[in-house]
Amino acid sequence: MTQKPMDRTVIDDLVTGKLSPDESLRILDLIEREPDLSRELDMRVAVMDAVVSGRADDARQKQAQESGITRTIKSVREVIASYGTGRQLAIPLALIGALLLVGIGVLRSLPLQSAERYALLKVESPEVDVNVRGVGEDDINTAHMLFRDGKHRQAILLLERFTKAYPQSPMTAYAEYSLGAMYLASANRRVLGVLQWFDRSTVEAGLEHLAASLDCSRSPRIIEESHWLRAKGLLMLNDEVRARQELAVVAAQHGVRESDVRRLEGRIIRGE
Amino acid sequence: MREPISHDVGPPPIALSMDVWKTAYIKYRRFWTNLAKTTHISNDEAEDVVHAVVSSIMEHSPKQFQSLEHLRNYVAKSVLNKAIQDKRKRNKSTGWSESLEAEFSICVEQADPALLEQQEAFREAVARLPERDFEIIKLRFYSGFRFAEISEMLGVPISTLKSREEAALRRIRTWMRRRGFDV
Repeated sequence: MTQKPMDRTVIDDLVTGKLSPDESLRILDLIEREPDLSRELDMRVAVMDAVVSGRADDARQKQAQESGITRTIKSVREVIASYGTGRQLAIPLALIGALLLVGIGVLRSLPLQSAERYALLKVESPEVDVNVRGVGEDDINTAHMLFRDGKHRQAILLLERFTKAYPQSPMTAYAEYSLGAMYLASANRRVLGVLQWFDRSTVEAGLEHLAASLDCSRSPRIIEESHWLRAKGLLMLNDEVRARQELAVVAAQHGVRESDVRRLEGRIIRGE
Repeated sequence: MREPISHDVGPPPIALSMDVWKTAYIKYRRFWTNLAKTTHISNDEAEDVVHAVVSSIMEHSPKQFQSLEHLRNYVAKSVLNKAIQDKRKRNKSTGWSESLEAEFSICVEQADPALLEQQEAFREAVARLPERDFEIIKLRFYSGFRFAEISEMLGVPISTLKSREEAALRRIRTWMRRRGFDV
């Protein structure tokens, strides 16, 4: 009876340390017996090294800067080749146009914010962004890096993986705070430069994570920031009563956000 | 007259010089460290395990190795076993001995030029990938996401992702071989 050939993507998991120790040992035994698998392992180790060292990104940027016209033409060719001929593009383009019209209709029913209120409430990124050390540190540090690179969804997924894997870790409070801030930052919506609002479900997810952070945090800074962001999130949902309660807690801390609380209360809550 | 019996049992073992160790360390340290981290220890602790294992093999092991890959696997298994052992006994590895720490700390500058050339070629090969393939490679090998997670993230079926990854790796391999590297 012939054995099913091993799925080579398991070697990725071996290389990146995603298998259990026992499974890693088992795969290493298999690799030792198969020269082809050994070469696959070497290949993937080298690719990981190229990516993790960041030099592949540098090389990529360098390539992008060199011979810009040539690369532009090549990129356009690649896009057209992947989507088909001009004639075939007509259907997707027509669909996009139709969706745009429907979208505008939907937008009209959204809780749009004034430019000033939107600018005051929007969250750009986690204010507290520190390099952590400990079990699972890679997930947290990488998530923040991904977020700074604009890869919000990936950053959030990585942090959620951490909080599921290490619910009792000393870094969980920081991870939950980071998740809350990232969700709120991802809730910003802006179309055509004039229509702006905050996505309700994203804000609610952010508020949940901030609450989880407050449940387990002992750091005064994280506690202050979590309450502050909860206040903003609640204002995004037009819940002024609960937002005031959060702001009162922040003000009572007499921390770095004290003046921000007064400003926010003055500009938004009292409608000045 | 009878032919002499051949005692050829394969390629001669590699001489474990400091240069060979440094080459192996540069090539495989991330891999070895990732293996140690499968026992849920921090990055620093994992590096200490790797250093302790390499120190121990360098100083005590009489074993001969047929190739760099053979050495890679031996160290990999030793790292895993040591990390598991340390965790059970709650002992922490103590890392390099002082003399080895000094020796390995300027490893990259003294590395074999052929190795550095190959690493540079790999970086270029990866950088040349089309955007969507590069993204998958980064998500797999940098962020360490499983295919199921990437599928949810990008909205692409797992089978498609696997095919793209295989195609990307084939493309890298072809590019490297065209430049004379045996991968």
